[in-house]
Amino acid sequence: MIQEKRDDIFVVIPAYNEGTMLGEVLRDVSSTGCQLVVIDDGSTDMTIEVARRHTPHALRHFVNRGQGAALQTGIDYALRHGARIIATFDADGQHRIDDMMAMIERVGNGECNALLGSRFLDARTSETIPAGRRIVLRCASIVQRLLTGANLTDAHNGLRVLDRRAAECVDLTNDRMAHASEIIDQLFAGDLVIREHSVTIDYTEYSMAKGQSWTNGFRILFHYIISRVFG
Amino acid sequence: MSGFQYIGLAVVGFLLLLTIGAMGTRRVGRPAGLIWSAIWVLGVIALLDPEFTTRIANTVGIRRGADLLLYLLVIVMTVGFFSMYLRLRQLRREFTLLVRRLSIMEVESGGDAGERSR
Repeated sequence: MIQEKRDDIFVVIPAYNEGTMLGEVLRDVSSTGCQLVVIDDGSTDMTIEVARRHTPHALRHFVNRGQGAALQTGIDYALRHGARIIATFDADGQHRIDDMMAMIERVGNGECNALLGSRFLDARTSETIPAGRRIVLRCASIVQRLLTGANLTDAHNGLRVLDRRAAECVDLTNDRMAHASEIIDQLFAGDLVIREHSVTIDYTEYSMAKGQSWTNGFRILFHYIISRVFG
Repeated sequence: MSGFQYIGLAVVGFLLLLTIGAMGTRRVGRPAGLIWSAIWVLGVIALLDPEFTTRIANTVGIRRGADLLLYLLVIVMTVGFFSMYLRLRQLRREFTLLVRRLSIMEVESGGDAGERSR
C-alpha cells in the first residue's frame, strides 16, 4: 500500500495482553499512513513495549479498566489531537485493513457520519462464523433492536469508522463489553447518518480464545439494562 | 425481664445515644438521624413489650411479629445490597475516569506516571 499521509485519520486500537499478535497488526495498520492510537489496558505482557515501537501515541491504563474504557480513552485522545475521522480496530488481527480503508473512504466522502462493520451483510464471513458465536451475535442484534430500535445486523463488531461529529457523541461509561451496545445507543441518539459496511472477520484460534462466551453474553445484557435504567 | 432484654436494651440504648450525639455534632444529617432514632426507639419498645411486634404484624395481616421482622429484613437487605452495588458502580466509573485521564496526561506530558506507580 502506498504510504500516504493521513494525519487527521486516527485508528484506535484497544489492547489487553495482545503482545503476541499486536506487532503484526500495528505494522499492517501503520502502512496505511493513518495515525495509530494504541491503548494498553493494563496488560501484564509486552503490549505497551510493542505499541511504543510502532506509534508515539501509545497510551496505558495502569489498571485494567475494560475495552469500553480503553476505546473511550483512544477516542478522547484522537479528538484532542485534531482527528477528522476515527476508526476503531481490534488488536487481535480479526479485522482486515482493506475493509477499514474502504470504510474510511466512505465516511471521508461524507456519505455518512458513522459506518459500522457487519459480518452478516453478505455471505463472506457468515459462512465461516462458528455456530455458537453466530447465535450469540444474532441474539445480541435482536436485543439491541428491541431496546434501542437500532436496526443493525451485527451488534458487536469492533470495526467502526466515525467522523468527528459522531465521535463527539460517544461517551462510554460501561467499562466492560456492554460498551458495544452503548456506543450504538449514543450514535443513534445523535442526529447522525449511520450505515453498515460489510466486513470479513478472520476467525483464528487466537481471536476465538479472546472472544466472548455465552455466559458473558448474559452478563453484558445485565450490565447494559442496569445502565439503561440507572444511567 | 430476661437477660436478653437487658443486653438488648443496653445495645439499642447505646446506639440511640450515638445517633443523637452524631446529630448534635452534625456528622449525621437531621432527616437520617431522625429515621435512625425512630428505629432505635421502636427497638426499645419491642424489647420492653415483646407482644408489640406481633400487634403491628396483626394489623397488616401477618400472624407473628417475628415473621414481620423477617420480611422487613429481607426487603431492607435487598435494597441495601442494590444501593451498595450502584454506589460501587459509581466508584468504579470515577476510578476509570482517573485511569483514563492519567493515561492521556502521561503521553502528552512525555512523562511516565504509570511506570513510577508500579
